[in-house]
Amino acid sequence: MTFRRACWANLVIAFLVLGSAYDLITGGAHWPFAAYAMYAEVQRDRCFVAGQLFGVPIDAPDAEIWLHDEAYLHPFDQCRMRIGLSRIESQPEAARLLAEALRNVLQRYESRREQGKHRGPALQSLRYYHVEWQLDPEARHVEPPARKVLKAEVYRD
Amino acid sequence: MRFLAAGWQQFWFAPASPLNLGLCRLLFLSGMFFYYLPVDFSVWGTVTDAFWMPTFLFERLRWSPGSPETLMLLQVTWKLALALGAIGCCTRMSTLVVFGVGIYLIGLPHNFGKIHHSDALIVLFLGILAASRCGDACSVDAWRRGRPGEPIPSGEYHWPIRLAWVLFALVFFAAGVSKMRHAGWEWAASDNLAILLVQHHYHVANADPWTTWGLALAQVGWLCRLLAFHTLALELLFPLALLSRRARGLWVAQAFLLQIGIRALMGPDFGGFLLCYVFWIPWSALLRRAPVMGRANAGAPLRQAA
Repeated sequence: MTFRRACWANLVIAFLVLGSAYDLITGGAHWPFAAYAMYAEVQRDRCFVAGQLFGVPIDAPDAEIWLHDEAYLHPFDQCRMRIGLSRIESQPEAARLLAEALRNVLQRYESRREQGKHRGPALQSLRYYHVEWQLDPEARHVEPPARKVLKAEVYRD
Repeated sequence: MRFLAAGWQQFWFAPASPLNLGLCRLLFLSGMFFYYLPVDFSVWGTVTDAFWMPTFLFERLRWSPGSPETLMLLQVTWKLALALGAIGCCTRMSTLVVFGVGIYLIGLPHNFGKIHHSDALIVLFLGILAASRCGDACSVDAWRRGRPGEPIPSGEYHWPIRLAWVLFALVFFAAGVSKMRHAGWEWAASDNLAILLVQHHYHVANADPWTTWGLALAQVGWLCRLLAFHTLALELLFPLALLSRRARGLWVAQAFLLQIGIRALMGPDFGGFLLCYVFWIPWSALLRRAPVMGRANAGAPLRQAA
């Protein structure tokens, strides 16, 4: 191993180890380095609230279907969608951004439905709710949830 | 000081056969290729800016989401480079492309609301492969050079594997430290895990659990607490796997089972992270034990490490 290669290897080692150690020590997140704080908080409450998307089908306007399946939300998964919308809500222009985000999700849902990439119904609107659950030991009341508060709704163009 | 330098040299740069690193490259990049083959990154080009919340890296480098056409071009290039890197064809260039384009493509979804941690280690491992001489064995490049002979051991082939181990250990250690920092022992001593197990049946993770066994487990409080303590111990003591061969086998196997268990009971999908385990397997030792494979390998063309 040449001196030059040894220096290069030591540089790579130092950068990757120190980068990882920095986030570990500070608790920061500088992807691809991270403190890996997932699930680090203690859960005490058996009641929880989460933002969720529901679609109103064109042929059944009184019904709502819960859009948690990744095929409906693609390229988002249910977790990224929930947290993404929640972060949008905390921004200064939340109402405008939320409407823009929901319109984008609805457009992609319809476009993918027309391409046969999922079997969901045609939607006339998309609703964003804050949904509250009382955790049931056997998860019997996942749907419908105990309480839903409508935060935003967008209609198909 | 001299003792420390010798220890550093021994830990990172003890002479090793290129075979292990070559096989890790072959398996890791092949796995990556097949894992990411059906993934379409170009759809991210259709997502509105309302969701755009750039990570540190994307913000600093002023990277933005490309158009669907640009992303399609990038992903085709990347997947081609993954295939070439896996078979060890133009390895230096292909692994550089895999890393350079991969850090953008794999990092892109994390700018849309949520950073999932399951692929961060993958990117670091791609960086290690790009910086190392991982194409000196089990590769088209080595075969084309056509220099028959015994593998020449070198520190060149040792440090990349050791660095992969250290980063892997830091991931688990960091997860344990985060739990202690945010919650302390209460993380394990309370009903925390039982609540998490039930909560994950309400569609909160990036995927739903494979089974409903988590609900049954959640009803046995003492078992949940025991599993939680075990998880904390595994994470906080993971660095021992770097020091002891016996601990290595035990800890790595438990970590793998832990991740499979989390997927089955709670849902979160670790995706390509599981591919990183190939770096822990002593491939050359396994091949030495397989007589036919061992003999075949001994005659493989290998380039001498400078």
